[in-house]
Amino acid sequence: MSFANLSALGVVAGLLGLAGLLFLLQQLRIRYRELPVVTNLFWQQAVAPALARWLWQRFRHPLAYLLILAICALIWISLAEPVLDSSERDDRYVLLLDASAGMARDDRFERAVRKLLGDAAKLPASRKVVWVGASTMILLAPGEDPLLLGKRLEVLSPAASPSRLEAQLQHLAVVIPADQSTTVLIYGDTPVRQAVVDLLPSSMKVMRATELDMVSGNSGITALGIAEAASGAWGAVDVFVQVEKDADQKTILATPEITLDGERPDDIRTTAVGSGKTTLHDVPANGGMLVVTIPDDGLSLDNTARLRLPHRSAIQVQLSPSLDAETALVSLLALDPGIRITNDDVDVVIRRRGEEVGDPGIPALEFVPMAAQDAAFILFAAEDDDALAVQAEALQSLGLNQIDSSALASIARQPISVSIETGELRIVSVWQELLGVDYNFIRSRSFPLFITKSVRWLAQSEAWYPYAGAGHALEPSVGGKRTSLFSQDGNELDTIGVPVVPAQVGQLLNGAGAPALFVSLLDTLTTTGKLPLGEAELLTMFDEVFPPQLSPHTLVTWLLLLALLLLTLEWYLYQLGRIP
Amino acid sequence: MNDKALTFNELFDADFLSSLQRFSLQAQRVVRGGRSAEHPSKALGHGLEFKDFRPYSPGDDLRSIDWNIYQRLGKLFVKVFEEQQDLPLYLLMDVSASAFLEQPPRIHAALRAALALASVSLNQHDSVGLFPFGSDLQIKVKSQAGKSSLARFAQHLADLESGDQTDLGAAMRKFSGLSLRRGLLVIISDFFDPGGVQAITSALKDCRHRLLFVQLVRQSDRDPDLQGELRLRDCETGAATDVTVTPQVLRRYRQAYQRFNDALAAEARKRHAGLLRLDVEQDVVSQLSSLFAGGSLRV
Repeated sequence: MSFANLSALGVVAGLLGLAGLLFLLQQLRIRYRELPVVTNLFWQQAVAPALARWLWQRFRHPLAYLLILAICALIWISLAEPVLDSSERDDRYVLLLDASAGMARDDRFERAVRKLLGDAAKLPASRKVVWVGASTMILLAPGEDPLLLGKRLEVLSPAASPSRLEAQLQHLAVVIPADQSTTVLIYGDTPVRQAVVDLLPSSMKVMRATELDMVSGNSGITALGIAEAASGAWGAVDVFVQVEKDADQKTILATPEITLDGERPDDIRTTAVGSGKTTLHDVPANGGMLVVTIPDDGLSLDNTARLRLPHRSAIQVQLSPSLDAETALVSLLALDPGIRITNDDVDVVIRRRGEEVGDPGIPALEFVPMAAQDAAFILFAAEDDDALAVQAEALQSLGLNQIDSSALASIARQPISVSIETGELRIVSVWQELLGVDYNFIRSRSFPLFITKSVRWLAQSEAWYPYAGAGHALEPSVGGKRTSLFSQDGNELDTIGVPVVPAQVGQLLNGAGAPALFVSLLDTLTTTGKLPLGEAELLTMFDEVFPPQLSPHTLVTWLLLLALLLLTLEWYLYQLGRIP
Repeated sequence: MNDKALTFNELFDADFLSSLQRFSLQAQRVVRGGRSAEHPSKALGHGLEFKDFRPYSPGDDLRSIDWNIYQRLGKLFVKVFEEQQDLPLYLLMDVSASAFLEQPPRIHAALRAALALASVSLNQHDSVGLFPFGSDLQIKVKSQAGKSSLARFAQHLADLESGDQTDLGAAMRKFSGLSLRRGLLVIISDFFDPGGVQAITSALKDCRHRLLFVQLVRQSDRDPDLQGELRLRDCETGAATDVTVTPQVLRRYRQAYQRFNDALAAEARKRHAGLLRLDVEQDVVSQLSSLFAGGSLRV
């Protein structure tokens, strides 16, 4: 048995409290009514033997105590609204209401809700109704009145998010005890992969409560991402757009229309790379908002996708005059389109250690005599940098893993090592001897990689997000400076360092409250309504044979009637003089 | 005069007194030494009832010689007659506090019963004494005779006042010390002596008189109409007993009361005494009728 209004612990605690309170009331000093009598000779004889038998002098009415305790206990349990636990003979039911973007199509959400309301009222009170939208929440807890479900659903509507039904099924498989037979009913028409269902415990039975409606007449944008420009242009990116349609033969694949900051970019070269797939070349990376739209159809949520482009300006590098003779270095810097040699607004300084070149507060790439430092490469990370991340970047982002350290070590006759240290600002310190021709480093393929990556690491240019789809982890560009992301209501999203997975379409903000990126739907399953090739849903329909149940109201009524009966019995016994 | 006792006018009621005319007391035999009255005595002499013959001796009354025997036998015999004397009636009236409690107080019935018995005795030329008692015995009337004394006797009754607690033992000891002529001792009381029936038995141990117990009872003595949590305070001793009235307690109370009545009846039987349970809420004369079976009470 469970209780709708109180926990079992609360009910037991209340019963114990009642028993104690009534006991104390029984123990209270009695207010006697004084009465003169001709003699108390016989009363003394009548009372004396009874006194000898009583354990507690004042606890003299166990029958009255038990009666009042039973009455109070029944009323207390009624207030707690007991619900008969039918788990021993019946399945436990979990009803999942799909509230993803696909449910916003025509009236399928309303139909699912109507079916859900009907079933929730017929199923045992132990059933639970769960809302599976952008977030998951319990709409109706076990034992709660089904009437509450209708009230709660009045203010809810499908979210602009991909279906999370599969994730919710996997979650239920973890939280539901393995020995608890559970039937999960799905209300909605987003298909569930059989491969996911097969991995669920055998005690968990998944059924579909509403028919799977085919999607028709819908096209949608299912991918929008950016990448480094294939042309090598530093201040531009390539954009990939994919439009898909449902399986209906009559549906025509829509053509996307692209605007950049509200204007159609006529000078951008586009290439079709397949059915509905388009690449936009050398789109200026100036921080603008790229909007892709297709004509309105049955589902509007996938007709628009937005992407904030990165802002990529050239890194201002000041080069020490003493290094002008290092032709390999100078030539390399001059060839890198992302780097501009200048003495104004300097982002990074390249110098020899000890030279007074550039502002000492600016990150620097320093060349140091071999005798002055043990390690060939030392990365001084700023105090607010994550040391482990810096180490990872040193090996991968800076291209140090590409260095032929064995060859260098044999020439230098000492080990080539990388060291990470903490300083006030970022500095990359390298043996200046490596610039010499003897070491063959400047002629290796790792040299330009190391120099250009080091300059970018030192410049700490802001990271950008190549893909921002609802339900997909946001992976920032490599080597950039990450900024925290905040939701519209001001909550920081990536506080524990785990990649953010935006649940639904919307704008995310940076720490200053300015728009940082826009998350689009980009969900093939929502747009097409069909699972990937080779996947299928094999769920059976719920047979709608509802187990018998006892309404909690009926049980409460019986309990109150029993309390009334006991009250009548108490009154009768009182009239008989059997209890005081 | 106590407020709860009857006034003289209430007590000395003509109808009440006339209803007693049919009652009489008949003693089997009274002891010698009394005044001439209506009860047979052990004394021989002048009278109406022929008893025996005896030889004449000088000094005998010549009128008592039976001349017929002298004619047949030639010897002188005189006829001897049984003398009829009075039966002293001693009324021990319980005037303890319990007699004045409740409505109507037991003293009302007690006074009427006492007056009734006194009236019957005085009508038969017997003497009547009145000894009210509580914790001590008072001597209101030691011996009074003659029909004309009834009004005076009633006045004595009406003048009785409430005493303290019942102590029949002390009263009896004092009464015995009066060395009164053997007669009929009527104890009118509720007999609720704090010492219980044992105290009554002990008090009557040396009693030489014939006894009649008039036990003043009422329905609530047997079935008290009480409930709830009560502190019962004894009106005589002031002692309090806390009682939660339950069916079990009431049952034990009735058992205790029944044991008391049974013990009192046994005491009466042992002493060949009469016992009248006088319901103080009922008519006294009608209840006395049951005592005076056929109009007379033989003692």
